[in-house]
Amino acid sequence: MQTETLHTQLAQIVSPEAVQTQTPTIDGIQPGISVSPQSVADLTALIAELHNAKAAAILVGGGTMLDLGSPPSAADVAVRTGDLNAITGYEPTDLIVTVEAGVTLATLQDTLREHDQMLPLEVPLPAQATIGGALAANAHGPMRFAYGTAKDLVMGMQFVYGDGTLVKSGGEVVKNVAGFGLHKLHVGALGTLGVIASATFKVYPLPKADQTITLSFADSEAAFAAAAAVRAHHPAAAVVGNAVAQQCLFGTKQSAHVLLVRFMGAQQAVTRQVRSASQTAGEAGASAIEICDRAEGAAIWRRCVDVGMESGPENVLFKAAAVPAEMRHVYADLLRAAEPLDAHVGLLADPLNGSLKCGIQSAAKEAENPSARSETQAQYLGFLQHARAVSQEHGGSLVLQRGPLALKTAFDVWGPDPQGFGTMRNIKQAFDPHNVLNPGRFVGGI
Amino acid sequence: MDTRELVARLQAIVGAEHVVYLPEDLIVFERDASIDAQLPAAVVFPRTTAEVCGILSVASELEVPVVPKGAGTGLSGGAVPEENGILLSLSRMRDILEIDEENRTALVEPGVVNLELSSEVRHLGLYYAPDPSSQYACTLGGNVAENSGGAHCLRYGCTINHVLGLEVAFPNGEVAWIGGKAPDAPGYDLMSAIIGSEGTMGVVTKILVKLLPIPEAVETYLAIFASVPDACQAVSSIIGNGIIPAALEIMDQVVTRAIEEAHHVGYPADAGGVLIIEIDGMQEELDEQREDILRLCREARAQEIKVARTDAERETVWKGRKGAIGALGRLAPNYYIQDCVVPRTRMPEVMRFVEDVAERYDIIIANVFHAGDGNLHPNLLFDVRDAEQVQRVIAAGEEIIRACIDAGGSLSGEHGIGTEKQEYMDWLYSDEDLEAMRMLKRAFDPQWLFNPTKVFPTGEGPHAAKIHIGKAPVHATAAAVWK
Repeated sequence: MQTETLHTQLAQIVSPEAVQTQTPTIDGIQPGISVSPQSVADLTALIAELHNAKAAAILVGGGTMLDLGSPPSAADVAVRTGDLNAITGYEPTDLIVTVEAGVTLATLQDTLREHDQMLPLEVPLPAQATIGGALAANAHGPMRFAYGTAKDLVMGMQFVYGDGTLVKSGGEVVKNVAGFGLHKLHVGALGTLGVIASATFKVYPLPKADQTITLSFADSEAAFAAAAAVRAHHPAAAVVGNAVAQQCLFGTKQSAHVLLVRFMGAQQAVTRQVRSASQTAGEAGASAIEICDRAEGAAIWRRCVDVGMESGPENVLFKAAAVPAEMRHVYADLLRAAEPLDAHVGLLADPLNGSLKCGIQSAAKEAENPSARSETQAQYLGFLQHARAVSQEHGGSLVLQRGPLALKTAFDVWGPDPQGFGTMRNIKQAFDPHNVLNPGRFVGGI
Repeated sequence: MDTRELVARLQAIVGAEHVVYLPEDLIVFERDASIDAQLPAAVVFPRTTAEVCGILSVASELEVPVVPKGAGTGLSGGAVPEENGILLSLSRMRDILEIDEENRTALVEPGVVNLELSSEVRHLGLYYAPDPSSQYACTLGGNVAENSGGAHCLRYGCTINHVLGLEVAFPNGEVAWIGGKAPDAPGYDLMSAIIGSEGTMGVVTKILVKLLPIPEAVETYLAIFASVPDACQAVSSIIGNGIIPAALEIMDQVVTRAIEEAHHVGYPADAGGVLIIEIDGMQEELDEQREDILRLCREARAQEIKVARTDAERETVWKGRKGAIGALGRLAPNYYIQDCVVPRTRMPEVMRFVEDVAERYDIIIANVFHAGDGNLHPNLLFDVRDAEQVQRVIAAGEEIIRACIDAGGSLSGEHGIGTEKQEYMDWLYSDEDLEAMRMLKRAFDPQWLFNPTKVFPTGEGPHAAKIHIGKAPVHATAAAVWK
């Protein structure tokens, strides 16, 4: 359909001011129209219209994670959920909150904090990132070791699937097995099964104490061994970072490898945990041990989650996964493999969960000539292929989160089709038969 | 369908001795722990994933319904056979395949008994957290099917929060590994769709679960209240004050008396409501929580607070609690146990309403429930031989369900929908909501062969639920394991 015709039709559904031509570019493709539904009713009518028109929608929350996913196969309209931004239900004594998709993480956390509560979900760039986007991208951080990920926290959802039908799944209680877990299926589905309209979460009391220790190590084996030993003291989170990662976290390199461990809970318990963990880490070869207070620690963990997300697509960011006890091998291997690259390669591994974030920034001067650029690209591609192979060897996978379009075209963002892919395709076909929602962006071309 | 052909095909896969098909042999397989019953065409006992796949291929080819079954402790009818269907028992697939201490995981076959896994890893200082009351009989495969909970869900979550990976035989006979020890496998989270799908989407043939370190300290208290609503108020204020204990369980006087008669565990006979409070974790954490909890109980008019001083005393408290439903068999030949969840702040008023319903309908309702989660279990006691009483029980039950839904609650917290609650699903969900769930099932099971008559309303209205109760057996369902 012609962009102008679609524009006119959409303007009849939502208010004309909510339809604009200013749109974000996704992997080089720019939708002609941007629509901001002002209500859930708007959203359903809008998606129904796109379904009828067989138009392709790119879903945009805060726009912080638009680089995630394969280049879209089509992009007619950007659907922005940012104006669906009401906290529609919050009963602090029930530890349950219901929010519309466009509420930012920062707004939600501020509201919860007034009641000494939190949603224990670490999302990059919380001032912009929205609940809908965080769920669709399955954003998480190292604290998942203590609290789980979005699928453990989301208790219910309203979503609009591909033909514009509004559906409720789950509920507003903390325990529920009535019906199937459709709401959990949307976590990490990148919006390809439906547009999340609102979500209900169980929330947690803010821990009374929250302390972080910073431990320095000369070699990575020792850092990971210490992380494994410290696990006995019930940490909430841990990461191991190389020199480049430390630059990003602290603005300075502290040692070859740093291990950060976070403890959250009752005051006296955390005091003992910090003491015991420091001793354990010392025995494991930590050369320096620093204890951060709550505010310092929170700022460092914030940067751990944000790092790599603020840069543009000229830099490369990927997430690798491995069996937790084998993450040390992946980290060590990538350290070696990164050496020949003319680039700053930051590695931040989560040894408790088996996850690793790697950012690559070119060390070359800005005014690179085209042939040098293509050589760099080839180098990065080789590095990514190697990194994926290593992750798979250790039971895991690798997802390219952002990078230049040429790289995203040459390297399959998601990797090989997973087992059960036939069923996944059936699910997509059922919920979005006209392939309206984020077409081509997900696993296996879904 | 030709039953003889079906049996022959199944025998060719698993061997003649692992197929049961004679009517007199089938009778023992006609039910689970719910009140419904149905004879299958055959019961088949595979030993391997390959055999399961072979069975599913035959079922698909002959278009025969399939019902997977674990220990049959489910309360909602999920493992009741389908008419002319295959009952696929996973009871021979009961090996613990791997304990991985370093990654704190266990890989098990679906027929492994819940408590057996915890016993097996205790020497490593680890345990498997979800603890349904039937845990010494129920299987992990059944737990996955129902997304089972238990008393300690409050702090540790239900089955879905503890499963890392599944090997699944899909209805078309294909096998897939989903999830695993490494996190974040790309693709849709099929695991979250399958867990709690009540055997409607495939057969789980291996399960990878998370193990947790055994807490270094545990304390258990019994707080005695004049009434259940008072005990509910205490629970609501404990949670509201930011304290999440390991377990918060309430029992009313009907229950405590029945338990006392059956198990002699020392519950006070004259208490209107008893609240079990368990806190666990690091000793300092307990020290910090203890005073607050006891104070909040006193503020909610606790008459007395007893402490379980030793492990043996604690075990006795839990033995009584987990044997509660079985003990009710002493009071009436039949019970109808409900499973609604309400927001915790609404519990006191809902429980007052339950008391009111009991009085208006002149039936005994015994309450024993996971108060910390707001997960109520009113047990409506009756005698199925008294048709008029059965009608009263049904009407009373429907009033309670209605009240829970009106309070913002849900139909089921952990028992599942099955046949027992299917006619109430449209009280909670719109036609569109239910159709979306059907679409998901069809994506897994396009022939609609897996537990085909369950979970969704049949369209016959709530009357079908009445028939289910009406079909209940005359003998008491009193075995102590049934929760």
